[in-house]
Amino acid sequence: MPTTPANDSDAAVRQEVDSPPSTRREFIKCTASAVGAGVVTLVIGDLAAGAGEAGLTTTPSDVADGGYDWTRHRYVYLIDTRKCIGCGFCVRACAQENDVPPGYFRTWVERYRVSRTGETEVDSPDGGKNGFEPPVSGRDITKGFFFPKLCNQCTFTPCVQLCPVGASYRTVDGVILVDEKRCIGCGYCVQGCPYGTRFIHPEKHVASKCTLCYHRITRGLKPACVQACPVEARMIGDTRQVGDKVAEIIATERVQVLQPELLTEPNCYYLGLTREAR
Amino acid sequence: MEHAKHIIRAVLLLVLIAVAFVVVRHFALPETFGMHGHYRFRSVAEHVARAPFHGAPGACAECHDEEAETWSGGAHRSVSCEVCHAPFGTHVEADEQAAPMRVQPSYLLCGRCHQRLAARPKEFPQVALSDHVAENGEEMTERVCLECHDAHNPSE
Repeated sequence: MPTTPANDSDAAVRQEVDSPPSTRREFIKCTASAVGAGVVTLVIGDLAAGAGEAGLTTTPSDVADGGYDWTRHRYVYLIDTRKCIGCGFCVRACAQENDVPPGYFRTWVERYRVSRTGETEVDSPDGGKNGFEPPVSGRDITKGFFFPKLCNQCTFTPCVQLCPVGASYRTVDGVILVDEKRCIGCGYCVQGCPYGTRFIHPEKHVASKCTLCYHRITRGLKPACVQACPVEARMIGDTRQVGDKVAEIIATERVQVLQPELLTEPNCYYLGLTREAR
Repeated sequence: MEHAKHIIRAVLLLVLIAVAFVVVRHFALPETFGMHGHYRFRSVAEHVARAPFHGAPGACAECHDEEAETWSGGAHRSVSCEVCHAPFGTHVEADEQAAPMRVQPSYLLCGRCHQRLAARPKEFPQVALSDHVAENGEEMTERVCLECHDAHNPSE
């Protein structure tokens, strides 16, 4: 069997060194087993951590108030556009509760004015945060209404699917949240949201959106916008609670969602939705 | 089996790539990522941990029981205190008064709900502010609404 020059020189080195354990073969064996052991430790460690926490159904107990269990809640939002008076206190409360920068909105109110011929004017000065002024134009308005909007908390979310780093996610209780530490501010989700409810925060440079006041609802409080609404046009419900008033309305009345043709299955329902509103 | 060493090398290479993937993944992924889905589970806890700025219902009445009683008997009982005043967090910190509560006596505040607008529901009580003031023989001053109405219980 012919030998290659390389093998010859290997043999030479081996003879020169003449210390039995330190052959290349053994060195590779040692290194490989050490690396292998390290990797196995890592994998087992990861798996163990995963298995230990996978059984967890609640948010980590060190921060959750009173042991909040997110498997026992599923939030739905209901807006009765027939009741909304366009005061804009919801928009202001949201901005104050969540420190929303001026000019950006997690929720806002639009005013629709429709003439008999179907011409539709929509305005939302500063998101309706300071209320609405009487219009100056003398157009003959036959139908007028206010229309609050916010994140629709979709069941099948374009925004979460689009996020390349896993910064947007849907919680077990049905709220879409943004992990501000993980978000890279690429803005795909802002473009992807068909309802235009997201924005890039001008100072933090991360995506920002309605959280349904997750820090409030997990404490048993209502979102700031719902609490601020003086006419109960905004309501929050929980379909996992027996006898929930809002869940009952959604189950028994003719509710609609925005852009149902997109199949995003919003969890924000509207009473009194009309063809002009979109 | 002439070419066995090619196969062995290929397998070794695949094993090496797999090992490299596991190692890089371990150090690249943040803690608690993937526990409940493709996100950092700790982020949920961070959202929960934020302190509410608007108070719980009834938080104001703990000190202001007189106003609360007047308010609870009137047409404004569906209007949260913080709507016309300011969020609880601007006034109270750690159960102590941090700053005086804002009072807004201006007709502009009343007008946000009660100025007549075409888009408002017809059954909601609303007036054309300047006409209403003139009809009742008042001057259009900042506190003009409060001349006749009690903000906490406006029904006369």
